[in-house]
Amino acid sequence: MPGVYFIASEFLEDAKSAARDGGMPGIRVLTLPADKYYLARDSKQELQPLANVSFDLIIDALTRPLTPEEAKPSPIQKQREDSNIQVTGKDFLNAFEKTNELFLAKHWADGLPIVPPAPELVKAMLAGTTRSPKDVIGQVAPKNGTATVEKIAINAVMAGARPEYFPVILAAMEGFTDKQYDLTHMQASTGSFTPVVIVDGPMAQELGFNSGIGMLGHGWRPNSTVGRALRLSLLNIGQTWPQVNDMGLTGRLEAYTFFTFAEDTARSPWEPYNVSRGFKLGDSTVTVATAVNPLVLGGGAVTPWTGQGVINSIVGRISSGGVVWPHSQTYILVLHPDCAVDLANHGYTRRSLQEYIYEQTRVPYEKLAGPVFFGHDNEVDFVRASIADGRIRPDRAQVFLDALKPGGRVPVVQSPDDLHIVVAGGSPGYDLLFSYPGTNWANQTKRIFGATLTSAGR
Amino acid sequence: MMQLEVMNPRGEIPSPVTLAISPRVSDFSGKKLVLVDNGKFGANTFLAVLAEMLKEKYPKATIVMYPKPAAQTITDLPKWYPTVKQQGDLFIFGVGD
Repeated sequence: MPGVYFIASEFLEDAKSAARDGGMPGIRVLTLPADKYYLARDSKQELQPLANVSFDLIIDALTRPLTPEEAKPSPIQKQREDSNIQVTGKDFLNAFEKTNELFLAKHWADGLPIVPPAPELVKAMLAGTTRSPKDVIGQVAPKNGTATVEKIAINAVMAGARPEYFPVILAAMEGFTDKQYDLTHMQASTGSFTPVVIVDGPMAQELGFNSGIGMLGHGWRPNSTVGRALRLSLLNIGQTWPQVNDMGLTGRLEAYTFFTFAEDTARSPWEPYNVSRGFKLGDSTVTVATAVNPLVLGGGAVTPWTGQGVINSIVGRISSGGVVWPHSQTYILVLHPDCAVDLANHGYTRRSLQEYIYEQTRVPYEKLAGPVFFGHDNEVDFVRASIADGRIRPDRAQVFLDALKPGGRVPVVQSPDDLHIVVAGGSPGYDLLFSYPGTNWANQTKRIFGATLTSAGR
Repeated sequence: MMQLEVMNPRGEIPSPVTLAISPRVSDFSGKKLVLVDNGKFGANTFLAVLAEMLKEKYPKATIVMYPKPAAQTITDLPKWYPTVKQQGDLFIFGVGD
């Protein structure tokens, strides 16, 4: 079927890259000037000049006969990525610097210096797991690069991770490449999402992850280098690059290390987060989740706060709207330990807190309003369409249908399970609310196993 | 001189089957043009402007809008794209970002 694609001009490289990935490099693409289109797009009158300029180009794209190359394109050659590279310098430091220059020029690094992934260092990294170097962990979007244990080890070396951390990194990569996780959206979207990486269980303590004051900051090698190993693995194995096929408009707030921290299970009044996800007490796990940048709540050391006050703020934030996908958000609520203890002292369990927030954030049917995405003029239509296309899960559909009538109260999150509650932070501390406009492919928790250098995670 | 051997961190990418684009048409008479709205803000407005222009210039062609359904899931997109072909003879898809 002959066709033509319109894209905003800043996305031309992205479109070409996607066309090659899909095996159809000859797709005819027309661009609209981004600096004009986004300002004009709400108005037919303002779009008319752009359409006028484009019109003859459309006709041409649909009628101009194919060139020989378009009719019979040259086969896309497979890129080999398995040979080692020799870097020559006048001494070690010079070779080190040249390696860094080479890797950044090839888009194999993140802009900070990397540890050159010498075979000896990669071998040492691989010694941290019982898993075979050739084992395939999964395919990394957007280009579906094959994530073998060895390829992940190379990136872990570059990140400066220790071999003891490697099983955590492998488990996290299992999460990112799970078919029920939308890695393409996280890697490529203009939304500039940042993964949240939560390590839970005995492995977190044994490796020395920070879960207290400064848990998202610098200074703790496990937090920093596990996150960076994942950053580099996704970049290199999925083959992404900003302005090419990673179109995060602002870049990511935690671009180099992601939001990587451990739950403070010792100070939490509740069972570990991973137990609430169905794992056994004593399991070590890692959770990966897509999120936008967090809201910071509570008073910290500055102003008085109460646990209930923090929860009231969260309820207000979630139910006040102003989000793109009003009925399909996933939330990760990180409560600092004192806040969690205060809530527990007032009778909340993790589950009852999830259910409380879920109930309190339901919106009266009469207050549903638009406009919303995808051609729906109001939220009622949008919710019905979301039920029809499966974004609202079949097991939750009836709850929404029952609420879509006068007097009904429509959930803002699909179920209490879509409110993830984790305990971490300082004393005093702030509380963090991460959100993501999607429910069904937003997070994965994987058990850490195969460790050889630690007591936990075996 | 010092030589440093380092390993390639990139993942192997499976080679796609290389496909040609479809042959073009010589004119639009009797043809059905499908304007596929990808659901991004402004796409339906831009395509509506194009639809009016196409109808005026090519009265013997049929112009239809075909919105991409809301909230495509990561698993059902491959099932949806082939449905575009069932809607007509040519397509214009937009506006991507």
